[in-house]
Amino acid sequence: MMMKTKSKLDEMSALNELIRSRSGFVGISILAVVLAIAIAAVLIYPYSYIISVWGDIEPWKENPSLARPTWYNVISSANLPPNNVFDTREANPQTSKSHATFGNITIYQITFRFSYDYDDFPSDINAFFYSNFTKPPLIEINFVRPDGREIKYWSGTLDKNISFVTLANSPVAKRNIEEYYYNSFGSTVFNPPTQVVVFAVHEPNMTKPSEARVLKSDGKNYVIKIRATFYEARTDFDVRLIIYGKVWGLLGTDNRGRDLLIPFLWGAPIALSFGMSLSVLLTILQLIIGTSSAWFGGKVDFIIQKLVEFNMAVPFLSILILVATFFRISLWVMILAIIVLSLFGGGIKNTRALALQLKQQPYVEAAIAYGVSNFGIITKYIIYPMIPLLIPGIIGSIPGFVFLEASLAFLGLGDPVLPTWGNTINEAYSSGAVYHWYWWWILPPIVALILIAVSFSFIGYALDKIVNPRLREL
Amino acid sequence: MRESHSYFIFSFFSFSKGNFRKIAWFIIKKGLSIFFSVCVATYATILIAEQGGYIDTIVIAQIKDDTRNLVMTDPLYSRLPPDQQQKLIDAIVNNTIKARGLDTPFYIRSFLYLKNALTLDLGRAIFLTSDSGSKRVSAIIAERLPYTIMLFTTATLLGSLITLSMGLYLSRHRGSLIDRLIVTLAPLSTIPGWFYGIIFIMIFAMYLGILPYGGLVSVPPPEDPLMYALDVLRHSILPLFAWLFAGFWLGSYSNRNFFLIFSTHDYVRVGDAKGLGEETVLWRYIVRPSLPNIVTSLSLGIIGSWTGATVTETVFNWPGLGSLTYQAIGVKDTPIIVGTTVIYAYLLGITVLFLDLVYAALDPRIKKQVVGT
Repeated sequence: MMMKTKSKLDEMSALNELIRSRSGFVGISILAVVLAIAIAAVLIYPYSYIISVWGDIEPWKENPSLARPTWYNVISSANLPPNNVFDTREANPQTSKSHATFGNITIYQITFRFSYDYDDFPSDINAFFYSNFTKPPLIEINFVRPDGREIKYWSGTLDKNISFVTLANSPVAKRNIEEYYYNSFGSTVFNPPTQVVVFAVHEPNMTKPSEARVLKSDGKNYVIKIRATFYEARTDFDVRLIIYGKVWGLLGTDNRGRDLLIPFLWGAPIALSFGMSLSVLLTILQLIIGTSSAWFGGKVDFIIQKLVEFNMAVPFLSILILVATFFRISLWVMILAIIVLSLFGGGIKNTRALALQLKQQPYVEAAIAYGVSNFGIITKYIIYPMIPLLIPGIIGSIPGFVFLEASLAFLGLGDPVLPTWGNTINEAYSSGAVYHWYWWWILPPIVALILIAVSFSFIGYALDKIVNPRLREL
Repeated sequence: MRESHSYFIFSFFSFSKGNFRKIAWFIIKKGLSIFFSVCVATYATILIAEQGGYIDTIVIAQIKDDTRNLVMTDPLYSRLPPDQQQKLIDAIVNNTIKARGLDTPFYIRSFLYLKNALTLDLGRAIFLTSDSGSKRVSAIIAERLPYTIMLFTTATLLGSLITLSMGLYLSRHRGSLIDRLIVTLAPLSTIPGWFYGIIFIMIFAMYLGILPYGGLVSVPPPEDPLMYALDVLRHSILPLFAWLFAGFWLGSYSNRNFFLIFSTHDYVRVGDAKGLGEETVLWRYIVRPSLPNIVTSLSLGIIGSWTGATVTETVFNWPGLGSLTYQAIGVKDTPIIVGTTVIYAYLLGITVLFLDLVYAALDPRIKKQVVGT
């Protein structure tokens, strides 16, 4: 039987057969897509960039949180707003900036004009201010709407030369809008969404995002007026004001405003390297252990078999969870822990059985007779012919390890700095992505994991049939 | 035919005087070997926790807590000025630490911890409490364990039953449409149950809105016991279904292959040729000889369900051991994490022992080694 298998396995014919079998073809095509994603990921975003950026807050400050992908506007009838960014450092005919100095007081007047014709409200409003002041300046921001009403929005002092200021969710803006609403309708509201009120048609329900209607420009402009008062002579003042949208990028953003394209792409190389390295390393190690168990027999065999039995009674996932909880492990330590815990797993029984079979072969006897060393026989005549038989198992067990990482990540024990698919699913799920249906957040990693699982297991099954002709007869 | 089954199974337990000692000896030997495994797993748990520096902190914090309670509630001491009380507490704590051997080097202490863990003296939780208000880890675990067993052991048994009958059916209808379908779709089982769980929640809870997202009962729970039971059943449909779906494809496929291999044996052909009839051949010639393997895969499935349930329970917010572990991870409640690991080790050990016994009862070759005749 061994000889027959071997002759069948010139690599080319095996590959040919793999592609010709239906499941093999499907598997290989999907795998090609996943590999393309992995390569794209590594080329577009270098590893060092990912590590420094992913766990950080700063790089994502200008992104809207929970924004849908930009192409959502194409497939749906609604026209959702993208980010609107206004910057005095960028030339724009709709932007004006002037300043006047009176003794030791400088006053800056900045206006941004823009039209707003979207079907939904912005998700947030924030601003950056840049100035090398020595005394804290006073900033006032007002909105003038297309219907002619002016809303006093925010005022306050800056405390840092480069400062990021929360506008829409600030207590000042909330208080201003509460006051505006009271003056307009004579009733009080509590904690209004200020970015909604500013862009809503002037009517009593303008504080309720689900009922309010968007006040569209229709040719007239919205104007943001910013007035900065410096208590010193200054000639440097710049503003970058962001009206956050509801669509962003190719795959949208998560609740921290992070670009979800990054975990979708980078999940692929991480999953592939994690799954493959574990699968290959474990198979090789178990091959060596199983073969020595069969070859040396006696005490070695007894001890190894006892260890395998013992391993069965060790709660694998619990101990892994324990290790992950106490050591806050990185992906590579996790690989090591998994190897240690599953070294004496069930795979040894298979390799041992195969090696016992090979040990009986006449050519092994011949090799012993003309004095080949133990090491030589094991590597050349026992391990080498077993390799093709193990390849389906190596490929077939990759998805299991990929899902193991996802399981740990789902329990909150993933590598926190890496944008893996498992981490993304965990964050999405625990933020209620299924309940609120943030599909752009939870679906891509799920689809990616399914693809990787299906591709490897299809290839594994197809190869198994090629390598084990007995299966084909069944 | 059914009688012949049970005869085979129970003949092992029909003791003659001589057999009894041999069987007892067999059980003791197996039990000791498995207990040794449990010890090592528990000891490893202790070592890992100790490496993280958690165990000593927990134990000493507990002693301090106990002593403070004791001093504060004792009428004799409660009127003392605070600084004297503190002195008294410190003195008692020091004495207790010495008395319990906690000032000894770690390799001695670790065996003390091992003894405590093995006798299920798991200490008290730091943050979590049981529904009845107890902080004892064993009480918390005892409250959660039945839910895990209820859902996942049922799922495993049901799953085995389904895949076995499916495999048997397929092996008899090889090449039919459904056979080819299952052979093609077998790779679907690479995706674990919890993952299907998320997908099913999206379909049945979010999109169709016909089943709950998770949990054990609705809020507020129904008063009527019957309605309560039905409500629990309704909540267990999705996790059960997800678990069964994940196992179904590969389970049916491998059982099919397995029965096919068994039905190609010569004695099956002889049975067929003798005209024994479909039923008899199926049960006596195919199913009976394959029973040991079936039991093995069943127990392995149950073992897998103990730990594999962790993530599924978390997905479905099912109040079993798994979601307890998840909660404990979230707040770093070390005694609970260590405690659940010990319990898992015990459960696993018991299952393996049970597996060995049933295996010995079912497989005549092993039975012969045990009983002799």
